[in-house]
Amino acid sequence: MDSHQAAQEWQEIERVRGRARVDLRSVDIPLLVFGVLMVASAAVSDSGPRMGAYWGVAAPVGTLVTVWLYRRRGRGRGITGSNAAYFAVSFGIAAAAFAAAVAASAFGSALAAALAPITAVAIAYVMLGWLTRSALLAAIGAALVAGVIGLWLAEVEPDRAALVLALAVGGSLLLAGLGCRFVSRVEQ
Amino acid sequence: MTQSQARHPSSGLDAIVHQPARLGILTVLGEARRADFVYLRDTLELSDGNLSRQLQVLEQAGHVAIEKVFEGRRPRTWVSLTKTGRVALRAERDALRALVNRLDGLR
Repeated sequence: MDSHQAAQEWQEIERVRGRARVDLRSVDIPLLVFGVLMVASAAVSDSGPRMGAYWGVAAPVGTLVTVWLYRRRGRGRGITGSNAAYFAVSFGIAAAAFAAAVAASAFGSALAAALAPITAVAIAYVMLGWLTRSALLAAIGAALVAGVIGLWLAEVEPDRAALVLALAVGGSLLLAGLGCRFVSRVEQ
Repeated sequence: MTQSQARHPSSGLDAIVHQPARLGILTVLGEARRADFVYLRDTLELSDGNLSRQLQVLEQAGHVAIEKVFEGRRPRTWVSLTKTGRVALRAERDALRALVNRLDGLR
């Protein structure tokens, strides 16, 4: 085989790889699940400890729901992936979110307590983006982290910061998830 | 010229893995925990007969494991990559990449 033939074969296997990755790990599922959870967190955005407790439960529940939806979709499409990494990352992030909120409350920073759980969710998006090779997810996570830092530097009131993140960011994640779902249906 | 200097990158290609359909099958399975017969057929645009033949070759070589199950009343064939298959796929990709880099070096 010569190098030109190898280059053509390489292109073809990269195409097949890309198709398998898209079918395995479309990004709409985590966007929709965590978008809903983030919007729902608005109900407890007035209290840092309640927000920490909320995400301490919501993050693992959201993870389990995300994994279940991926597996269900995988069985339907005929291609399934390993979920061990997702469980490890997501439970680690949930623990970090809860610990961060508790630590921030202990140091007396209400703003940090309000922002810490959502920072953990943002980091989870970056890591999910890395796991799924999705630049979109990683970019959303990075934008979330930037938003949190911006709110911290602006010293926004904790209640308002948490509410802004819950509604604006959660709503954006939902819209992004619905958009991805619509695009993938049109392409099919 | 020494023997290692004279060795062409194509000598790293495995005849069983290198066939386009089989390489495509292993590539899909390299990304997944498992894929079913219909998914492989549609993604790789193969006929049922051709895919069955290629899977048989790969199974005999120990590169894939095939599991036939019933989901309700519906029969389903799931295919997954074995450890041997994963090693073979990685070696094939490395050999192809070396050939492509050789081409880039000539340009």
